[in-house]
Amino acid sequence: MGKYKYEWRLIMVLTIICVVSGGILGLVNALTEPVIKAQEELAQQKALQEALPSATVFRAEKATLEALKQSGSTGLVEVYRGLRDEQPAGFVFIVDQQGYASLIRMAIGITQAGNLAGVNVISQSETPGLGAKVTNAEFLTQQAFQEATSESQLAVTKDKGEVDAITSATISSRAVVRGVNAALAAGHSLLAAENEIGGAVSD
Amino acid sequence: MTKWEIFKNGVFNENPTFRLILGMCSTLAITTAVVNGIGMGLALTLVLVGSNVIISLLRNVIPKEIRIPAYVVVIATFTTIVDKTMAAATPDLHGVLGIFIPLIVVNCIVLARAEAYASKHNAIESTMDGLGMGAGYTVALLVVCVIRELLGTGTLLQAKDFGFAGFHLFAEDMGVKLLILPPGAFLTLGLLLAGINWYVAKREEKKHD
Repeated sequence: MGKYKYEWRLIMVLTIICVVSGGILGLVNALTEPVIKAQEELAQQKALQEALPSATVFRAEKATLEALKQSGSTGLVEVYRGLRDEQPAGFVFIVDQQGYASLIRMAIGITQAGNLAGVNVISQSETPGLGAKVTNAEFLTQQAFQEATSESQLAVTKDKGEVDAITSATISSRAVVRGVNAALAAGHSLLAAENEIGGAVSD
Repeated sequence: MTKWEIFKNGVFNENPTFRLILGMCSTLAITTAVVNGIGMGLALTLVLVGSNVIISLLRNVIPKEIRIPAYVVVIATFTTIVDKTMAAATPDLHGVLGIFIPLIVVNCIVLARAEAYASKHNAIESTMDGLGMGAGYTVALLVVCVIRELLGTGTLLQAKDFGFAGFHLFAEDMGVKLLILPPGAFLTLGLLLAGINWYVAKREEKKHD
């Protein structure tokens, strides 16, 4: 060992630095992880609530999601059953769609009656001042969205539709409309399936 | 140099963004809103001060053959701490700055100061250097942010994620959209650099006369 004394020193110093760093990082992670998790859940809950205000409890439906994906629904990430006083109050769909510069993730609520309850953009990194305006209430609560039902197929005015796109951000607006359409179609098939069984089945 | 001079050096003479032209990618990418500039500036300052102090304390322990990997580990550790802490404490700001926080690891400013300053000076001087360079970077970001946000959207300090509407100085439709887009970053930074270089050159000339 004497021959390579200096080399051993190099290895020791770097190893010690790495081990100490690793230890500190483990500690920081243990301290922050629960807080980050809690905050993510809180944000998720808030997004679901805004998409479907009439429900109070949301339950993830993994089997339904798989079934919808099998039947060719695109962009669906999660499906939630909205409940109010143990009674079904509708669905919330978490949908991803490619915008102009980023993936736009949104929560879209559909009431048990088949109406579009709300559209809420959870995350996006579109161009500030242009595509980022898809988060604006003026866009998301416009009449075309408020009047939509699970049977609607929406489109922006440029594509001869009824949704007023954001000025110079047609691509971002189209992405949101695509997401809404995917949710409406999924909601339509789910609600139709329930009504066939008799409507009383909540699960 | 006194402590104050070390600090001032980072803000003016050796401003990392305007004079050393370091850390350009984050400067170009995040300067669309003043809030982003403040967040990014603070995050980088924290990492810079932390890594400068540790590297300065270890400067006689770390053999020169392995100094670069050692510096990178120290910097990466501080970056991860800042990243995790921000995600826990200010999730909204963390969401906006997203990818740029982890990228502080390879931000040339941090590694450059470790190599050029902290490895040759004591901990107190290195702290001042970190604070000064961090402040210089933050000030530079803010200058670019103010120009781009104000002229691009007509607002200042808009922070929707925090429920703060900011100051609306003129109608948003009157804004020069180009400034918000990536080319606007290059134009703004380029013109600022040209202006500063012109001023510095003129001052130098006067000194020689």
